[in-house]
Amino acid sequence: MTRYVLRRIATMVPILLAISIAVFWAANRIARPGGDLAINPRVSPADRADYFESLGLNDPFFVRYLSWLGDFVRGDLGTSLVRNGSDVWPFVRTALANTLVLVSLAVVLSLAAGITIGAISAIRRGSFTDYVATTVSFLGISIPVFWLGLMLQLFFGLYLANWLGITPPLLPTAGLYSPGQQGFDLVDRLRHLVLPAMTLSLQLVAVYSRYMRASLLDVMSSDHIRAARGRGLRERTVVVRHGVRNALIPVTTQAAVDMGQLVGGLIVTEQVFQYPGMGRLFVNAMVGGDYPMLLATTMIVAAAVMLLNLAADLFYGVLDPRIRRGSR
Amino acid sequence: MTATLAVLLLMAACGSDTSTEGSAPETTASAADDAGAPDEGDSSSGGTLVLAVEQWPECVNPVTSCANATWTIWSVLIHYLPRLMELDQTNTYVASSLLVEEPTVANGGLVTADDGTFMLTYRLNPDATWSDGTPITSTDVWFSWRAGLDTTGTLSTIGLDLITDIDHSDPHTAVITFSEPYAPWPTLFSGLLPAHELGPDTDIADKWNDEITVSGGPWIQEEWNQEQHILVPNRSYWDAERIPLVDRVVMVPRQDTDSQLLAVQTGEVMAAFPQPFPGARERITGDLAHQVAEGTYMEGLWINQDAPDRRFDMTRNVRQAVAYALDRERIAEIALGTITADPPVLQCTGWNPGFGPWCQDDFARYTQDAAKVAELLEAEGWTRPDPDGLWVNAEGEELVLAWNTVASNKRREDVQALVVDMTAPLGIGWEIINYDPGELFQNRLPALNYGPVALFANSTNPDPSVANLYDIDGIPTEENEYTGQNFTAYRNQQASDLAFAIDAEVDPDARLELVHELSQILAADVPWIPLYMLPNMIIWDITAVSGPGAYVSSPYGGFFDIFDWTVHPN
Repeated sequence: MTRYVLRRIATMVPILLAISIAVFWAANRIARPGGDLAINPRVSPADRADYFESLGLNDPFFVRYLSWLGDFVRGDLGTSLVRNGSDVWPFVRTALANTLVLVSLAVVLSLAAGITIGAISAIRRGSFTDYVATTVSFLGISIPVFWLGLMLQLFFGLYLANWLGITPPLLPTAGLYSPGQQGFDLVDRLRHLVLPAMTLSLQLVAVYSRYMRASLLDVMSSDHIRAARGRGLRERTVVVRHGVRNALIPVTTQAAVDMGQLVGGLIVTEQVFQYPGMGRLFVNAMVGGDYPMLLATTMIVAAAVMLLNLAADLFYGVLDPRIRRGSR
Repeated sequence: MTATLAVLLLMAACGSDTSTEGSAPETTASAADDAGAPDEGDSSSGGTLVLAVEQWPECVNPVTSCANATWTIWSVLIHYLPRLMELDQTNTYVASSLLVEEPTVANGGLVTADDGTFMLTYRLNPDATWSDGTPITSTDVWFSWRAGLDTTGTLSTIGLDLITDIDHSDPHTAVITFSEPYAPWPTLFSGLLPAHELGPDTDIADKWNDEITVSGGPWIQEEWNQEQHILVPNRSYWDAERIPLVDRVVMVPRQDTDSQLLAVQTGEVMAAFPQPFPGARERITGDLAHQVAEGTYMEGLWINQDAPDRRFDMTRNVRQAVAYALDRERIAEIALGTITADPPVLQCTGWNPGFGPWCQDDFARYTQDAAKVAELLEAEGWTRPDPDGLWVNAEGEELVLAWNTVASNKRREDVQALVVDMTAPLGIGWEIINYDPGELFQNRLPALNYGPVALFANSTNPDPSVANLYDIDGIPTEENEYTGQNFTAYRNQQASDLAFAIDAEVDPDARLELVHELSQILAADVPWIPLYMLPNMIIWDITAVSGPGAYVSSPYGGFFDIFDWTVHPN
């Protein structure tokens, strides 16, 4: 097992290197800090040249890349090009923490709801409840995240507040905390998490409930369930202890994979809700040509995706002894 | 911060005089009574004002790249850093309350010596102090000059590099010596820096990156981070007319127009200063008011005479023919009609201030005229074998122009579609090739690798300094490593000389004559075809706040006068 894990981690290194080169190239291609100065008649060519020199942007591509790489392997994520030399790490750390809070909340809520709905749907296969759950799942998967986010903002922020005659609305539509809030306020933070978490969750609930339904139906038709029933166990015990438990395996591994992807994949949700996480940091860095920031976010997200995929594989083996035996 | 802030204000620059005929601000009916001065009847002083800010600064150092964003000025620096000269509501430079009087030739404030040097004397208000009680003196003027030049990564040294000395021996008098006459002097020192706080080292690259610790303006910074900016009144501000009326201002980032509109609609913020968005006139309803006025950017067609892909020379006749082929009133209507009623056509020459005495109707002659198009083209040998087809030159090339703009910019793509239809009956065709902003503005435009026609916006300046744009030696070439800024490759020695003369003429009347002379040449040569001024817009909730609207067109931004705003009790 240890050798397997080490081998998987070793394969990440060339992948991360390839990603870093690709991102570095793309960042240089798309934008550079102060690129708009070239068309500003109030900034002289000499000032522009000095400015780029001060940022180290006059060095050749690979000199800059290798400089960044050297710092990176020493654990230094570099300094921002648009934040006047500030270290990148504090910004990434804050954004990562914000995103992890949002993602964790969304995944936990989604798992709870998705597993419950999927299980009920499978147990009552063909019933009205099943049809409703299946239809809603289809809708959940089909609705674009940005549209859903906007609709939730409008409903909770505007229409519901208007109907109830409340200003400001019960649920804030954007930001991390209320304007003017100083110091940590858990309730205020949670209120600001509700709509973005709901936006993420609704889609995940749809996915997990469908996974759970399919998985549970598969498990419930397997031999060991028939054997359990044959032993005279109560149906509730059969379903919960032998059915649901085994059906959870693909759902939970999918959740682990989703966690990795969501860490870097919240660009739309974070933009819609003006939530200061990794997605927004990534977009701002991309627009500003801030490649140290861009590379830091990308490498962390890429590493997170790969590590959580590895964790999912390992977790799968833990939950299913057949797989563990097969890997020997 | 001096020149940097000046440059950025100029970049942000300027809209029209809101009292100018044809450019009067448009205010929604429900807000008409609310705009301008606070309404004492339903509002009171005190309370917290909450504002949405469209672009959040990454850092706030006033001299370095941090300040390379208009919103850094609008949301942060303008509220803390005092200015020597400032723009009034008509976007005219006047003495700020930091000065005893405006320097003029008559009062000896502007002196051109026999040796060609130029001396500018500022007499400072002895009552002016920083928020910590330290007097604002001529040493601060000197320090601001040196910091603008000496700071690592300084954004601009234009103007500051012509200063040879600042005599600050008298704390209340700064005597500035330039190596040559410098007409845009009012644009300098538009954000003084406190020497006692930031000095003695004049390289301030590592200071004030995320905090403005001392204020010389109406506000003091209580908190600034990536989530909010809190300002509280500077109760010791010497200008009694600008002591803030509210207890606190909170600015929060809302980085797109939909988010800003929603935030005002939901009551989460009280006002926003968004980019004008299509459909604004219909979408802003209920308790929301909005005011629209000509703003900071003018949009037009740039004609690249050195375009590498041109199929024929972009002669003056061809350029004029294109101008006569356009119905610019219709174009302005399509581009801006859903934002403001009857958007005016811009008639000024490129980069000149689009307001006040600088702007004349030099381009008004260019109305759609098929006969003129035919006359101009036939004079250069173009023919139209098929009366319904395109013009063809002697080499058999059809009059088809490659046209670039920013991809996915709906307003500009709508304009392109309209113009294609509009000019087809007149025998002019277009090949639309659009790019993302980075490719167009950072790669192609500086290298003159565009067009020969491009559509985009450029900021105008409160000061008519345009030398870089029409300097023949400033045409980007391989030899000068594409460092020039004459982006139309316009070659007219008389215009080039005039552009430089404008920068050196300190007498306002004589300078105005030079500007008009240059404008007439540019209108005849058509290196650029003006279309319209992009409007500025401010939105506010009339049940929550009074006061917005007075500075919609200002380069200082719509939040400049928040010291005069009041919030309504809940």
